[in-house]
Amino acid sequence: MEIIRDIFQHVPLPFVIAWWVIGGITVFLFIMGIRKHVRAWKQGRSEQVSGTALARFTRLIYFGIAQAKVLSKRYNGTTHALISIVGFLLLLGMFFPILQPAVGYLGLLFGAGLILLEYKRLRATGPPLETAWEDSFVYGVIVAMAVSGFLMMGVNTWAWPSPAGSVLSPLFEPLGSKVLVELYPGLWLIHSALVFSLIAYIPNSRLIHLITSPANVYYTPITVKGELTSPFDLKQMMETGNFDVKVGASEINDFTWRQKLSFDACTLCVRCTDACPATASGTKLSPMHLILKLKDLELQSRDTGRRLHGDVVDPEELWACTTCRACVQECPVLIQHVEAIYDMRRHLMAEGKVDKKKRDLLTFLSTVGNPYGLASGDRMKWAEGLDIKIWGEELEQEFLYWVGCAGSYDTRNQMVSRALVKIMKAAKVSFGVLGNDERCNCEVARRVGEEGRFQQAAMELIETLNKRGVKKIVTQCPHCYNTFRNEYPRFGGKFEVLHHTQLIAKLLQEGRLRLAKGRQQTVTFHDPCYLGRYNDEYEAPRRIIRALSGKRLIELPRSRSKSFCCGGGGGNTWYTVEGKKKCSVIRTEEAHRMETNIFAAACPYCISMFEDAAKIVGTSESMPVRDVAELVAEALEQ
Amino acid sequence: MFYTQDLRIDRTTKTLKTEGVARVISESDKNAIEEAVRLKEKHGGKITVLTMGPAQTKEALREAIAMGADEGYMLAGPEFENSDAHATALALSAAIKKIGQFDMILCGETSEDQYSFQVGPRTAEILNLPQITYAVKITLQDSNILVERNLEDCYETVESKLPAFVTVSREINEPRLPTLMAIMAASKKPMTAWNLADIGLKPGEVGREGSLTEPLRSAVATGERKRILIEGEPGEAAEKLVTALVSEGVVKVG
Repeated sequence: MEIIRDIFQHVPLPFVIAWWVIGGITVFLFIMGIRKHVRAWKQGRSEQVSGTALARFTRLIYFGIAQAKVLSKRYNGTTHALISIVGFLLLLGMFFPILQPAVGYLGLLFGAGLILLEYKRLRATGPPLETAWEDSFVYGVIVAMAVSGFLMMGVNTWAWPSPAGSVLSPLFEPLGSKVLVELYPGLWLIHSALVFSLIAYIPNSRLIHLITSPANVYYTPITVKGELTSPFDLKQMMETGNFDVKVGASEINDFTWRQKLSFDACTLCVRCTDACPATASGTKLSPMHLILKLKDLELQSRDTGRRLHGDVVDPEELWACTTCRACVQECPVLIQHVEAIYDMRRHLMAEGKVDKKKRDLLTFLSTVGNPYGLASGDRMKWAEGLDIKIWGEELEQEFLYWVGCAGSYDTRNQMVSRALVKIMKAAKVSFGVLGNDERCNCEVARRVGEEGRFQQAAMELIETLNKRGVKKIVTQCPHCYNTFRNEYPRFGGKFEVLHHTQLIAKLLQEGRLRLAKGRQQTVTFHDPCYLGRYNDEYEAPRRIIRALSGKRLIELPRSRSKSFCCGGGGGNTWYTVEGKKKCSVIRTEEAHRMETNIFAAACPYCISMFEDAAKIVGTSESMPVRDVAELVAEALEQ
Repeated sequence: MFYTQDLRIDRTTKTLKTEGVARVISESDKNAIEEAVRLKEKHGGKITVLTMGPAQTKEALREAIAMGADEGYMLAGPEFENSDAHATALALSAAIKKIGQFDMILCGETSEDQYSFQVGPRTAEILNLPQITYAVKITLQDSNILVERNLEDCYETVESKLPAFVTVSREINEPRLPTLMAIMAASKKPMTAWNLADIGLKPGEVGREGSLTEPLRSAVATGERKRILIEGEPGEAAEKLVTALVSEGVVKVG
């Protein structure tokens, strides 16, 4: 049996010539079209993509070929797989006889995919996916391609035995075999021309994602999720005295070639926007549209003078992002929306184009070392009467308890700090705090785009911690947790970092906490973004809640990696973004619908946000907001 | 100035405890720098920043330059410490004379730790310049300036020839915030530190000795809140609130 099929079998010469002509034009158009895209990407900044080729190739197989994330939406995913994977196999079947017996069945699957697609479009509930006339054109060509393919099978049963063929062939039999033999080349040419036109159209339509999406899956750097990339190394710059570096993206070509490729990889599937809390709360941000605007800008054929900032992207969009990572989590083709937002925020920051609240926030960080602007000498007020050891006062303290700014200054979160201290004392955990030497690690500065301030704080703080011999850190703030765990190693701070839920879960497991019998109550748990999506810790808080006597855990509809941000991340605790309904209110209503007794979280931002929202929704009494640590502290045996 | 949130009063000496308290640029001084940068962006020119204070002032000077100034001078040293408004104005005017040519001097209306509102006007007097205080808008017209002033219950527009001395109000603009990188990069721009002799003054003319005023006592002002809770439907409550504010004399009607 031959390996490559003679596709010109049963086809007269003029048809073969026509095939080659159309094929030649297709290849030409395809290459010219792709060149336009590649040229656009190459105008971006250079980037050395991290991760080994093998690791990236494995990921390509998983997300690109097996379409792991595409399939996470069952209906749309299945439809997509039926058309894409089966379509690809059909194309291979054209050349490889080994696939020939399967072609007929594959054709049926492909047809089923097309029908499912149209059915969904006609019966769509909720807002439909965005479509343009060209999408209908593409769909029409694909349908025509499938129909002509089936007709070919029906006409040519002698060479192509297939289920569809045997169903259709009786329709054609009356024409007589002579006519059929003459009909076949015509159908063959039409079918081929349709396939060719589709290929030629790839670079100018949404079908470009056939190229760009797998390419993006391959090139997206393999990094730690919670760590931001940085445009400079402050320490190095201070040593050399050279501070000439362009920070942030002021125009489209300030993004790297890989980022520009990623914008081009968007398939308009809307999953990011559907998951985005900023979109849901009615702000100007829609992650998909942001990416599409960038894509449109980078692909514009001539310079129209449109500026990235102002003409294309509105600062409000950028400031609306809570950096919750839901968009990145959902994106089937691994576009890094949040990274692009940071790049643009950094530019606004470098230009000084920030409003008073953000300026105040940053001024507070550099003057008093906390984002509230409260006296640095008042940092330990929360601990009055608690007899807490300062780190280093006693020998052999195990943990540095990093209270964080919210835990130190915010009256509501001070209660969480006190609860955690009660737990650690009950379990005889040896710990100390930095006291008035604790200063904000400036995570929030980094998230609003003030990279220098963050790196300076990191350098100072790491020096303090290393000098004092800190090895293990426990904190109730997932943002501090993420920074210490994922961002400090690059700056020389290597610590074992525990979120307080991880410590408490461990203490419970070791039997170091004795819990009293509690009332029968239901608890829902809200996964904080920086604990869950960024650090994959979903179990520790759940294990704690399950261990509490009388408490029954109810899962929210959107939980774990689908968790819906409280609205406080990325600096948004400190300024107001115009919208219709706050994220925290949307989430509180969602919890309220579960008719739960307690609304639990494990992050100071979430606690603050939900406490405010509870007053708006009117659930302060009926569904109190509690940190997981507070639930444990309440349950401790006296 | 000192970052006020961190300031505490030493009950025995009755002075401000300033140890470890961050030094920052007064807000209205930032407004003055911002206005200078905006004027420069529009009309061109050169911006020189001048400040007086302890050694940490260098940081503040760098920040000012990072906002867009071209060069900086600072009067630093223990001899300048504890100067009152008069002594400060004397030192600043001496330095300005030494710096030389200028078209306009901009400064904040007041520092937010002392709130004397005097340094600007006093400096202008010593330099014998036309002075315009509490500016909320500055327009440059040929060799004249048109300045809108906030006089609390009304605005006044005045015109002056240049050179002139202008103190600016907080509402004039939103000052930009330089990033840490910009501040670090600013250390490459020229910065000069002068001592007393450099500006041609004698010991005793500035500092506590040169001051005309003397602080006798510092105290924390306490104000008792009235804690009035107005209840009712929003419309009704708003009416009650208005009535209460009017009867307290906080709001004037008609």
